[in-house]
Amino acid sequence: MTDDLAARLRATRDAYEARETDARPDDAELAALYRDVRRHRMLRSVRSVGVAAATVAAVASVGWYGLNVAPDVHPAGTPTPTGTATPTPGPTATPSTTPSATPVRTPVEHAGMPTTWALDETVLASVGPGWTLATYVPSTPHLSTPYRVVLSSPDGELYDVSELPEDVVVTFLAWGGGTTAAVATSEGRATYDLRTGELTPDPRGLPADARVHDARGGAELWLTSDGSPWVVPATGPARPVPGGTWEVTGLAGLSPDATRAVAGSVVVDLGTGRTTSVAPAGLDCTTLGWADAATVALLCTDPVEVDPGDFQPYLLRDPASRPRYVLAAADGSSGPQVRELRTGDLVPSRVRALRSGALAVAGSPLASDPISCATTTELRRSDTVEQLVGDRSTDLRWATVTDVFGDVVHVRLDAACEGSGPVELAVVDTVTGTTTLLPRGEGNDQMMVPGSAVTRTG
Amino acid sequence: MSPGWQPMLQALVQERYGALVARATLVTGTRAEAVDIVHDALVATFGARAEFGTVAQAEQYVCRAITSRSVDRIRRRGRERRAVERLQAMAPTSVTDPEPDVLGADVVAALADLAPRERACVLLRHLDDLSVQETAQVLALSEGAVKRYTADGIARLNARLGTTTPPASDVVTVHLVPGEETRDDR
Repeated sequence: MTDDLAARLRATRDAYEARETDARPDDAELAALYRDVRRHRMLRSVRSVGVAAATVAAVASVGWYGLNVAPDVHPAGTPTPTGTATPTPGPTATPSTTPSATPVRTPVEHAGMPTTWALDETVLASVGPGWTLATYVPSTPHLSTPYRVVLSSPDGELYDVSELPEDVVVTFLAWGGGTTAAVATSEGRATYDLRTGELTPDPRGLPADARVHDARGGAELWLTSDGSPWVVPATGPARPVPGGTWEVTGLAGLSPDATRAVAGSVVVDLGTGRTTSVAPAGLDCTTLGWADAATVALLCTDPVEVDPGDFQPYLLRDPASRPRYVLAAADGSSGPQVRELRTGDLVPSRVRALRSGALAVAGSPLASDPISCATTTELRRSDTVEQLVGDRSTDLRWATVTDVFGDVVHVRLDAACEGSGPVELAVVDTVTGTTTLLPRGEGNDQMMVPGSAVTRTG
Repeated sequence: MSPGWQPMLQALVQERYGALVARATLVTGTRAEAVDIVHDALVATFGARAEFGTVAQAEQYVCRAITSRSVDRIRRRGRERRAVERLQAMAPTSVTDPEPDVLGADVVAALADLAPRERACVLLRHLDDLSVQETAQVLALSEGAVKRYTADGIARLNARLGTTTPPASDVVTVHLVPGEETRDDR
């Protein structure tokens, strides 16, 4: 269009562009930009959603949340508090001076890191169920600060593994407790060597532009830049998923048995490429995760305004939009089971199935304000609800479930709903009831905090 | 092993940051908020997908993200708060609000008086030359809503600026009814 108004608009744009010709972000702004992009890419959908209300109501008899849905059961009116099974996380994991497994240990100090011990062959040989391999990343904009890799023992001892090359971001995909781990980097799939810290490309036949979207039980889901999905099985070469490309703007999560994936609210059979839409008609839905290998959990509302430029899943923008918790059969064999949430109910932002059949749920109680970040994490069994993390530092207001390994749940505790700030990671073993805390590091500007993590299961 | 997104982001910021801020100023009306929304759009774009072949492609995508994000009223509240914090934290030379007498200041002021969706529709249709269908996709609106917002926005701009806009076949009066707007399932 070349009409007068369009010409004025273009002239204005050009004039403003000319005035901004020399505009550049200053160093602090640039550092914040790179930090925020890194965090988004690394954490992907880690940071889901949450709320302003802080009160947590523990309720019982909530079978509707899990597999045996009873949509008409509504326990909110008569909540029955339950005990918290999770032991209180211990204080910051300061290595003991009286180690039992290793006779001599050497403390390792790095700027911004919590105290760690040197890693040696004795420690590596003692790795077993409950050990966690994790990155530590800068909590504040320090582009030049390389990430570090640590090992955490079940009793909270941290062992310094290596420093990653500058600007290399690593996401752990699988680790069996040995001296190597499968990782995703910005340049593709690789193997990380705990002994040497080296990253060795291990594409397994993946296209060069493939980027990981999920890993579960040894299987991995990757997408190329044009949206072509690939699966990397626990063993053997990668294979393309039939059925064409995906346009993924939401969670692309593997089912617990890694036979399906859900992207947006469409379930894809990874063997045949067959797709099944699982969202109830007429509702806006966000996928929360898999309630079991055959059931997808969703949060649905009446249609609300949406920001297509925002790629983070939303939890609840409009409390009046009648949020519903929905369990949908992945194969479409039966209609979705819908339960409307009421004031005080937990509005879930993330649901993860544990090996035991229990669910790890993150969310926030429904109140009158929009919900931006999750505050509460719960372990929901067939008839009980327990908080996954009990006491925590008062500045860590936000909490979400980031991953599940067998019956171990990773709970990320954040000081900031969005943006940077202190972070700690609680590794909760729901069978033994023990919690291991990967603490934040020291200082403020140089503080390092836990990032990607994987726990060895039994 | 340098992240693949980083060179493109670096090039975009180096070559087109000023253009992005200029574009965002048209959308937001203030430079302080423009800087903030550019940051958000860059993070959303490169944090989520960001595989672009050229700087121009990346700029086009970020420009659309800037416009679409501007219509999110709920997040705007948080953005305004962060914009204030950012403004307070900046060095004095870091921000220069547009002079009121510069070319186009009246256009920016007139745009600022439009409703967010009117402004977004006008900019996407008449500055970016997007079709009604493309604009609807970017803003998650129905095509009817895009036509209505565009027509209303143009009428107000023409009245205030004394400009003219020849009638377009796709700019017609559409009466909205509740629930007309559509969107994908998330």
